[in-house]
Amino acid sequence: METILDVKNINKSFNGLKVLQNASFAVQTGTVAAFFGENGSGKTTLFHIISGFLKADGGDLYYKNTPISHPTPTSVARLGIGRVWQNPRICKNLSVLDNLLLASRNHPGERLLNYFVRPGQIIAAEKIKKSRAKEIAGETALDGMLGQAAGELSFGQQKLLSIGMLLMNEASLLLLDEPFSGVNAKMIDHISEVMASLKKQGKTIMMIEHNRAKASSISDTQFFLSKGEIMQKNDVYS
Amino acid sequence: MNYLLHILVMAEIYIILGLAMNLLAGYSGLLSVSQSAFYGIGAYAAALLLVNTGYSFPIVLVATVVINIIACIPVIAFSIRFRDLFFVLATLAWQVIIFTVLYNWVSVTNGPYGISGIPKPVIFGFPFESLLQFALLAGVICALVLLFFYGLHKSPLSRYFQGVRDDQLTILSFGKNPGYYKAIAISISSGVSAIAGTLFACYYSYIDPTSFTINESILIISIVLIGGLGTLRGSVAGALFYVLLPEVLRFVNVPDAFASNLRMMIYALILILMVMFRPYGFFGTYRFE
Repeated sequence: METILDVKNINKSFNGLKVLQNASFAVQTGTVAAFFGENGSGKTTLFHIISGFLKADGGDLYYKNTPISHPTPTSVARLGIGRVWQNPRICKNLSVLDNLLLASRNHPGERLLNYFVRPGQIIAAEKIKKSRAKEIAGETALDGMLGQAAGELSFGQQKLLSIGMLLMNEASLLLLDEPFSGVNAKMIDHISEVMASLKKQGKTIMMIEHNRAKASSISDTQFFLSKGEIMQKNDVYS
Repeated sequence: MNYLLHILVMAEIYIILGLAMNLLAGYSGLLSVSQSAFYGIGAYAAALLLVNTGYSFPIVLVATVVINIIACIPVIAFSIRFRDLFFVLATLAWQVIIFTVLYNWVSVTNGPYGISGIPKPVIFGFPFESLLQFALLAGVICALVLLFFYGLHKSPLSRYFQGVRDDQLTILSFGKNPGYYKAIAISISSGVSAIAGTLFACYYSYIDPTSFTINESILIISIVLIGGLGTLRGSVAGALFYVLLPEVLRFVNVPDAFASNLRMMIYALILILMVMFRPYGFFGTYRFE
């Protein structure tokens, strides 16, 4: 199995407080990796660094065996690493369909110049992207809500929309920050079904989760963090 | 009849300004208080070109749009660096700078004396001299601007503007650059304001800096707030409300000595009531938190 993300000796301090200390681990393609730990153990900081929202003090990141030099949110997203935040970041005034389309990768309608030189391409791409968005809405059980404002969705549905947006963005590695928090048991089952389906499609998932029982049941690898260090790794199926 | 045509021309100019402002505030979440500065740059550019060069109206119209797009580069620089209140302050600074330049650069703008003798539009040899002809010309231009914004509203680009407005981090997380969309929104808004400025200059045949103060910017903001942010019909309704309400209030029987002040007070009161009871305006889909 290929390594999709290799994290080597990542360090991060805030005002002298060490939040991550030589964090090193690797995640294999097509697997689900769960990260557990107390609040303040460095899990979210780790995700911030991988997704380019924070700069590490030291250490290296490799995505598909290529070093990620100077990661920024934009460059990381373009590589194919997507992030779902604990409180989903969606455009609440836009419809579900528009949120999905907004996230789509390489839409010619993103660039102003294309409206002058390739208007036909924009129309054709919009049609294709809409059709893909409808498929993804089906996969995430949002197909009946395409015209609804995203802000009107339940918290769990907003999380599913965020996952759908990552799929529209063609992310290969999905970082999910507490996907089961703040949602009811039925929605937890539903989100885990979606995650299992994504794994079948070959997507790699890294998740931070406090619901250890549920996360353990769907993860292949588990990492335990304490005081910024990765203390233990369990390979469930190895 | 002339009175009604005058109101129509004013409504057409303010609809254009409202639509330009709506792209910034309503679609992109950028509360600019320098809209009057862009309006003024457009009006002065048109006046100077028409008076000094004798270029025809269509060429001047296109030239003012280009000049305004270039003139908004400093605001684009602010918008990429600043957000929210800081963006408001940065545009306020720009508004003050432009007003000061218009007022003091006497050799070019004629300072407080303004520019007079601005010729009426002539298109392919046809002069738009009467008020009716001008109202029709402004109406056609206004309709084209409306059509342009309708197309923009329906285009995928509109989604990115609204994405920037709702959550910049979301845009960033999907590998897109929010600054790029802000720059486009500001450029289009500034360019469209130039069209309103050109019509204004040609309509009055005279302009001076007092028409392009911060008060005018606030009026333009109030148009989109009353009409409702994020919709085209909101901008149109807001502009009509702004232009027609003082005219309706003319019929309130009060002494001339304070009629004008009373009208403004009633207008202000209605604004306060709108903010309290209809925070989305007439047709808005979005409001500033």
